[in-house]
Amino acid sequence: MTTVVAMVALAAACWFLRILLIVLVPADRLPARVRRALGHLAPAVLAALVAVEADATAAGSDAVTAAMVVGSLLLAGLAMRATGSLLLAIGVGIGAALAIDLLPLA
Amino acid sequence: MEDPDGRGGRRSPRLLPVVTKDVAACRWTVGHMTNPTLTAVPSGWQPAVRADHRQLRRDAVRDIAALSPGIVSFGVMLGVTVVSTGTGRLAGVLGAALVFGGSAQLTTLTVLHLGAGLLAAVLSGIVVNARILLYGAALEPRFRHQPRWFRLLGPQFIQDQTYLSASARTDYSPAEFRRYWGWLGFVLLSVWTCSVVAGVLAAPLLPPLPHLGLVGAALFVAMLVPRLVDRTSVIAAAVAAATALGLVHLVPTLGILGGTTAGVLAAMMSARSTS
Repeated sequence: MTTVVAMVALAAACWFLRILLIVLVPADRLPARVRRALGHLAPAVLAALVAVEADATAAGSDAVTAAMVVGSLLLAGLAMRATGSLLLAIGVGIGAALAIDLLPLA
Repeated sequence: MEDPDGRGGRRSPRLLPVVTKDVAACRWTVGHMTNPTLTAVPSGWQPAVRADHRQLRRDAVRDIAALSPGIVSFGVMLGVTVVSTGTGRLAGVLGAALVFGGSAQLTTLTVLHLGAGLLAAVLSGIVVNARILLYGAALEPRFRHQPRWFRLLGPQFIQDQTYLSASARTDYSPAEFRRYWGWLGFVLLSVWTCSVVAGVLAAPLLPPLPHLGLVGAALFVAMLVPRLVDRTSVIAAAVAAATALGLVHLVPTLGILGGTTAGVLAAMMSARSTS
């Protein structure tokens, strides 16, 4: 029951965060400098997500596995740069995850 | 499933510029039922508008389909985690639908599982998900001219994938954006919730897959690469990644938010020195 209450409370709090700068304090009232900064948001947040996800995935792993995690992400980036295919890049991630977890040599 | 522009989808086919502008204006008026003279428009207009609605739905479905492998793997991982930590299947599925933010939900469930109190667990989830505040600010111009009900309910769909998909589609009128956003959120919510349910159901059958999170990371890498278009964006990404990586070991819940903030500040300083 505590977990359900936590989920409902978290959902309510997240909804408040979502509408805060849309309904309550519209972003056009924010200083111009802050609005300009939001233009740089996408690469910054994506890079932070990649770093945290990669760190969490490699946490507690041996050096070989950690190298495979980093290498597969670099490979995904190169695949995206070379082909522009999101699916191929994600395929690299799926292949690496299955290889690390299921192949005995990994 | 090819995505040549690397933004997770394709743009709507464009009509002649002048006609497009007129049709968009007409749609906007129809959506708000303010112009009774619209009954006089040529009969050929209505099928064109309906076809365009289908196009908006297709755009949204394509955007989510391109991202689905990463979303599904993360959802399955969350479902498996819910079962393996014994935090409750109902809470896991309910949270997926209501919170609509995997990392925040995972954080809250993990903190609860570790024995912390309700308030601490919820606060941890809020901190992890605080970046949606920035997404809301960035998307505000798209919600500014929408009806009040949409400005209250529409933002519920704001999260990483919807923000990134919508921010790449800048040429929609308010009515077009509303339809696109509705489909985008609905399809993503369906895929996400079904993935979590699948993870909950499949958990007893699956071998341990502790590195499944790698798929989500690969998805974010693939979304990041096309956005590294100049020196400023590269600096934003590099500083954000380095800061997040350092911070996540000190204050785990602040890794993403702190990294993002540092990256944005670095980009601002870089842009100022360049100009």
